[in-house]
Amino acid sequence: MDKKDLPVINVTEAAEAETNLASGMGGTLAGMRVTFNHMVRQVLGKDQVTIQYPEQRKPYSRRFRGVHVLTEREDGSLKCVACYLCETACPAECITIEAAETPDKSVEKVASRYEIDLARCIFCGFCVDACPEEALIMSREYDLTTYERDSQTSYGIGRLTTRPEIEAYGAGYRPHMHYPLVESYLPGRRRKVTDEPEKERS
Amino acid sequence: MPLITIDDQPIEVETGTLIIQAADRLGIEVPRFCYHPDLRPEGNCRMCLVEVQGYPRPTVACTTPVVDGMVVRTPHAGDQARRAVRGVLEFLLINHPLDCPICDQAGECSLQDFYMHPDYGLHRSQVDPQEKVRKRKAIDLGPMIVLDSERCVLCSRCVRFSAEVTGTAELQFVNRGNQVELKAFEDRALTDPYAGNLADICPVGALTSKDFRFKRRVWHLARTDSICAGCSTGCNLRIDHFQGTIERLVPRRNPAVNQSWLCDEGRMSFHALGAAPRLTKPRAQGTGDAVNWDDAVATAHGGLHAIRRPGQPSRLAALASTSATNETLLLFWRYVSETFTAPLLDCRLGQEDRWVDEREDTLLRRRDKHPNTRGALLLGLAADPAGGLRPMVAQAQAGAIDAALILYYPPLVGAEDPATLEALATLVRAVPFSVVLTTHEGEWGRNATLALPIAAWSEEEGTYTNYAGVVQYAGKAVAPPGEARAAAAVLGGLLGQAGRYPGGSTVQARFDELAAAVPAYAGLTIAGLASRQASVYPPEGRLPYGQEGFAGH
Amino acid sequence: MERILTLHADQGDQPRLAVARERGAYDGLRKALGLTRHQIIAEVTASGLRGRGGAGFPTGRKWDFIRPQPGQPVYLLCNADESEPGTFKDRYLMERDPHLVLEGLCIAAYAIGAHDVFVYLRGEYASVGSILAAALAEAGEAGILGATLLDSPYELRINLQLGAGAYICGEETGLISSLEGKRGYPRVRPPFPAVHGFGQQPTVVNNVETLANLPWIILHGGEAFATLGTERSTGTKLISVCGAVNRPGVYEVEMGYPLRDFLAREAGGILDGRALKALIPGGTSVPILTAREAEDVTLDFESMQHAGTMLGSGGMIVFDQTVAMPGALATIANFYAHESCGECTPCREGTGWFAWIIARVLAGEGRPNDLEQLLRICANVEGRTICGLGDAAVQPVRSFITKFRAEFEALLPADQDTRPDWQRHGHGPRAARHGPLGQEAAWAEPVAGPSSARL
Repeated sequence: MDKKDLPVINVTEAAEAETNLASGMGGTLAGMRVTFNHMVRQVLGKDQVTIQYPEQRKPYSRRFRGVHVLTEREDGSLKCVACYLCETACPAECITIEAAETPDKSVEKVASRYEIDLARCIFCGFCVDACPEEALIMSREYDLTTYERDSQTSYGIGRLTTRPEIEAYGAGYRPHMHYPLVESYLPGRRRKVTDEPEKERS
Repeated sequence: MPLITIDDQPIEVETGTLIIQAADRLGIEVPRFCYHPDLRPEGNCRMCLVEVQGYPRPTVACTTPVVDGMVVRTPHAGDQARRAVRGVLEFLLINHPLDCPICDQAGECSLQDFYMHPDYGLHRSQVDPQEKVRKRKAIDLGPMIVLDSERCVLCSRCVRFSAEVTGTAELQFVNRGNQVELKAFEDRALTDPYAGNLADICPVGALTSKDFRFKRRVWHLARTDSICAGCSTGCNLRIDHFQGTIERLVPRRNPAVNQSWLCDEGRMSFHALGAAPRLTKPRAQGTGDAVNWDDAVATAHGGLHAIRRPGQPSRLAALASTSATNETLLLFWRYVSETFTAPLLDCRLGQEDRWVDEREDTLLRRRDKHPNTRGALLLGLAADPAGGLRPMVAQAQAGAIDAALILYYPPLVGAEDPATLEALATLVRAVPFSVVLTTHEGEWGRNATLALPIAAWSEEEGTYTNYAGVVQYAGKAVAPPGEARAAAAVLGGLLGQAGRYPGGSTVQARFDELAAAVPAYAGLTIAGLASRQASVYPPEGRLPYGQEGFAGH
Repeated sequence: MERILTLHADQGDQPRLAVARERGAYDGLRKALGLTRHQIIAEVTASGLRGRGGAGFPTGRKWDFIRPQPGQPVYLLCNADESEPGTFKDRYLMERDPHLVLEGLCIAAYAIGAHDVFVYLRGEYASVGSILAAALAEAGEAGILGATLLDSPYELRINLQLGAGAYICGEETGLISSLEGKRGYPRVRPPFPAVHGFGQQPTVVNNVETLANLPWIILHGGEAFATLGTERSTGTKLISVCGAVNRPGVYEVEMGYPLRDFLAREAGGILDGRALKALIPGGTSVPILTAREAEDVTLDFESMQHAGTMLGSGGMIVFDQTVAMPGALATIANFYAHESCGECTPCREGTGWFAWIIARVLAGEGRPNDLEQLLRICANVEGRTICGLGDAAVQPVRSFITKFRAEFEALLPADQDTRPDWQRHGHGPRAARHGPLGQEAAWAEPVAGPSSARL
């Protein structure tokens, strides 16, 4: 294309020509109209962005990566065999494991100590990805406020297997999402757990 | 000398060299299970199959000597070899249990490593885990070894080790076909004192170390090359440790000293370090109060120095240790000989110089449970025929000694000799001023004027000279506990207090001084030792009495 | 036809020494003792005698490999382990004409300079062992082979050793290992037994039938032996035929005899007038022949090789139209899985895997790619093992599937999902109490273990 054919815009002249009260006011008023509409709709209750937490809660995905859960087998023992893959995979180095022997020869190895420092945890889910035994999954629990660090933010086997939040929030990120959950997957009970989003609290 | 090519790389080797050895020299890894450089080759695993031009079938590299002009292709560069090895690996894995999460060998397992190799691994399994042949697991074979016969790939290394090296023939295969199992006779515990080596030579997790069982994953371990301080053989080993704790010792191959083996006592020797409480702060007598290092060194030298009388022999008993590194001993000798005049200077607790060469068995162990007797002798620390701990004690009891400087390390192998401890206690009690450099708390040192904490064998770097005169470098694996310091550093401090040049502070500098002081070490350097430069004991070193020569290897 | 081996075998009193001697036993030995060792080896070489145990290696050449250092002992081992399925000809010889075998043994020992002979007899032939031992004792008392042979100063000690039920101990180096008191594990070659054999000394291993030919060869000359049979398969061969024939048994035929004629005449035709379906000519370790292929072959090494199989040991198994080939293959595959010694990986795992797959195909649980799988395993085992058992297991599997594929395919289920079961059905209990051939695992306990890891 020949340079001579391109339209030439003199920017200074164009700016002077467009600067007038009407066009300036028009743009501003258009924006204010949008805001006003939104405000009216909010006030009338039609279109609320803000939710009243904690009475109202947002539903989270079935794959949500929340606080961890250690799963157990049918006989009640933890599936975890202390292979250390989660500890190795963790980018935040927040998992501490100690292994011990079990007399059950088909299993041989169990974790005598399994601790996740949730204050360090970045909830990436690499540990769940790494686990070959489906022993570690994540629940949909995200609410982790405490009064003290370390004693309350470091979860050992006890709290990783039994705490009321597991049932309340349900299971989240775990291997084989498309298979139905095995009945005894979650620790402590044998009833089936549904995949529905967590019910809203009133 | 035959000239051959492996994967298009030429190499000339001695007649009788096996193809697999030639490949190793070229740095080409031919995968293998049953071949081990210190065991007779058997060729039964079929993993080392290579193509040899002109041979119709794949050839077993570990039993075939090279022939001039051979053209060999390994699985890395040859299609036929690659397919053959791939097939063998698939066969090995069809019955192998899915034990990786619970198996200690993970991370140093030949099956894992070969399977993950792109040239001959990563096949897709065609076998249902339910179909696999089941065998017995977690069988206790005594204090050192646990057997899992399901994981065994039947390479027979352990069977050959038990037959050829220890001669005890405790392990054998039973049954036939894919039901073959490794078994100890009547599942009896293995009683030979080299059983720990079975866990090292087993390429998979069939034979594992009971001591190390489930302690830690191997990829977490830091590794430091070192030398065993259990006896005068000085087997080469590697200290595997994690965050300041030693987890295990494994042998390093040195055909001249220990081949690929460690005795069980030496392998477990690191446990002795934690058996009793360590001395962690310099301590003064009586009050037992901790003293800071500067004060401690100043007081020590002050007290020792005070006993000198001009023109007369110093009434000092200076007991060095045959467990100390050469560098430590050099500084000990320098401090004592430069500060004092003709003191009682010796390194012997008993008669170590007499039996430094004596064997305890036909394989590795020696009767002298100190790693550096030869080194101490070479430095002239046993020059007086009538010297040693007992004569010092006698003299002290007769009131002829005014001060004692004692360097003492408890033995890592075997129990402490109560008679020795009694003698040390007597010496300390009988002397008005005593300075004790030691690693552990001990009753004998309670009455010492000053007890200075020093680093143990794995906590300092230095060299040791084994019974045959081979000088070997041992690295520092972990930090000494509390305020303990390397004995060489403490002695350097004493030298400094004495106004003498304390010598270089790096181990290289100290060894160079050593090499200058001891003609036998002339020409050796730390770098050379770390890379296993040969070191020999020529007769022009300072020989202690009674040593005409000594038994070589 | 000249009967070399079975001339007197059917006369029930042949095992008695006096009777045998009247019929010429040990005349060959007497003549041999008058010859030099080199003359005997030359004669045997000229005869073209080839090993009758299955490999067909020229006997004269095998003996020629023996070049001991001065003072080095030489050993002769007689392979009487006869475990190749379908083969019972050595038994026939040892039971009915033991002195023929012993005479051949002595001639061979003399020829190679061996003063110690071991007869390794399979354990299941204990009754045969009694006959042999009795013959040995009789001959010993008669001074034929006591400390020395006949009137010569040649010392010879013959030892009878019973095996304990292992096919692998019929393999040359497996036999040597077993005789040395170790597990019957074969050895990597080189070095070969002629250089480092029994006790690391020069050793010759010969089959019973091979040795039984020697008296005749010495008496009539190697050239006369070579006029029998074909140019490269000289002499005669014992064929032990069994299966769907009217007259199963051991027959001596001249090499080159048409198989078709053998079946019709000596074997008496197919059982009950049925049609021939297939035939294994020389023990289950050789490829099977279809009826069509069997029409044109003759009983000698070359013709069989040309037809894609081998004469092998001469243990002939005949299948008629009522035989289902998959079932027959299962029996054969189970044999090799049971007999594999377990030393080297491909045979140990491959034979076991063959047996599993064939068993599940027979049970109607085969996967659509199972036949390809079997052929792939064949390719991975063949040529990569320490001894011939691996190859021996491969031949029947490959030949049965290739030549009777339709019968196998008929057993495969129609469903096209080729994923292994565990991928289809998800994870289950980890431990299986029973092995794939139904054997109880003595120490497996029922468990609810961790879920199987995903590969």
